Amino acid sequence: MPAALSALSGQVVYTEGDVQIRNGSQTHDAVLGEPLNPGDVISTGAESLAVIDLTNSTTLKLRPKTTLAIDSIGESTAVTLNAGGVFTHVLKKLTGQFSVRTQTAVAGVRGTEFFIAYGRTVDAQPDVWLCVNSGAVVVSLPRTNQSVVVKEGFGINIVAGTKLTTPRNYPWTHRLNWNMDAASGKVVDTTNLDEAYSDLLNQDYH
Amino acid sequence: MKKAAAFAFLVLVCAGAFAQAYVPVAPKGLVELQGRTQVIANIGAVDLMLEGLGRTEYVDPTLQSFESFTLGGYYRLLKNLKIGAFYRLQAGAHHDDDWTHQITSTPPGWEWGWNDSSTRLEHLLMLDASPRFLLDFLPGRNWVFMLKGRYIYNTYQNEMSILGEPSLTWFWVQDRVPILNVSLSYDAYFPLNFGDTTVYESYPYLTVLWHATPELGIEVSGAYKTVAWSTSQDPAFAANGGMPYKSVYFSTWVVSVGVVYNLSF
Repeated sequence: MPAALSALSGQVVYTEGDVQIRNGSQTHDAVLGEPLNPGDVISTGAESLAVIDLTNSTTLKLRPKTTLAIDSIGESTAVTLNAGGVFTHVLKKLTGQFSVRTQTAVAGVRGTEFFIAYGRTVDAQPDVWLCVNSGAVVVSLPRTNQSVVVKEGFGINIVAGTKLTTPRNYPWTHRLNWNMDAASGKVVDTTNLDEAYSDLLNQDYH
Repeated sequence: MKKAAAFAFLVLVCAGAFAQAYVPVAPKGLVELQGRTQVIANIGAVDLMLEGLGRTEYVDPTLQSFESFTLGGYYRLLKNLKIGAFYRLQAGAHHDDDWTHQITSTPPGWEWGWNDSSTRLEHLLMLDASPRFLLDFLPGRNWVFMLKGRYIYNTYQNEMSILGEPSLTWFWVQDRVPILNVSLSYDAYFPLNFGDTTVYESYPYLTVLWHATPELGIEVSGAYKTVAWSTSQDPAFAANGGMPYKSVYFSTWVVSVGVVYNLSF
C-alpha cells in the first residue's frame, strides 16, 4: 500500500505497462509510491494505465495513451488533460477546488466521480467527452463563457471544443470501468470511445 | 376423348371467363397504406430486431389487409458487411395461384377472383448480406451506399426468391448525432421457382427517418410498387394443361409510417 501523502503532494499508486513522468526536461519510468508535484506530466503508453492520488481526496485513473499535467495541488488542485482520457474520483471531504482542464474546457467538481477524455478530431478540432458517475460536474468553456451542470448518469460532448451539447444518458458510458483499486478487481478500462459516435455504417431499419 | 375434354374446357372458358382475364385485372391509381413498428436491440456486434407491419392491400375488387411479424437479427461480420437471418410470419399475402375460379350464383356459375388469404398464415425464412460503404467524398460527407441481397424462402408453396436492394442514404448530422436520414432505395424481387417474369415485384421508395431521440425514430416512406401477376395454375384447369401463359403488371402507391425503437446494451 502506498504511504500516506503529505497534504500538498500526489503519489503514483498503481501502474500497468508503460508509464512515464516528465518534470522539466527529465523523463523517467514511474515508480509505485513515487511522489508527484506540480509541473509533473504523467504519460501512459498503449495498453497501459496509471492511478494517482492527489491530496488524499482525489484519485485519477489515466487511460492508455493519456498525457496529464499536474498544475497545482492544494487549496486549488488542478490538472490539464493533454491527450487521452482520465477517470476522476473526488471525495466529498475535499476542502478547496478540483478541476480538470482540456484544451478548451474546464470541469470543476467536488464530491464526484467523472470521466473526461478526448474524442475524435474533426477538422483539426478535438471533441471532449465527459460523463458523471456520481455527484455533478460544472463544465465551462472559458472562451465562450458557456457552462452546464452535468449530473450523475449523464454525459456531454464538447463538440470541437467549442459547443456544449445537452447532457444525455449515453449507453456507451455504461461500459466504463470506474474501478481504481486493483485489490478489488480489474482496473483497466477498455471502452472504445468510437462507440460515442454514431456509426453511419451501422444503421439498419429493414 | 381428349378432344371432347378440350372442347368442354374451351366452352367453359369462353362462356364464363373471357369477360374476366385468367390473370388479375390491374386497378390503377390506388394507394395502399402501411404502418410498422420496429424494435432494434443493439448488443455489441449483434442487432436483434422485431417488426410488426400492417398494410391495406388492394386486390380487385376487394380491399384486404396484409400483416407480418418478423424476428431476427444482423451480425456485423466486417466493418462494411452485415449478415442477417430472419423469420417472418405473415397473413394476407397474394400469390399467382390465389387468382382462381370463384363460385357464383349467377350463370355461368363461376368467375375469376382472388382467394381470401387474410387468415392464411405463411412462414418465411430469410438470409441476407448487406455490404455498405461511406461515401464521404460527396457533398455533405454523410452518405452511405448499401447493397442488400436477401434470399427468401416461403414455406407456402415452397416459393423462393432473391431480393436485391441498392440504397443511398444521406444523414443530417448535428453535434456528431444523426438528426434525420433520407434514403432512396430500389427493391427488386427475383423469383427463383415461380412466376413467368424475371422480377415479380419491384419498387423505388423514398424514406425519411427522423431521430426524435437516440432511442426513438419516426419514419415516413413512399413507394411506387409494381407487381407482376403471372398465370394462375388453378387446379380446376390443370388437368387441361393449365391456362395459357400470360403476365400483367399491377402498380400502386404505398405510403408508410413507422416507429423505430433503438435500444443499446
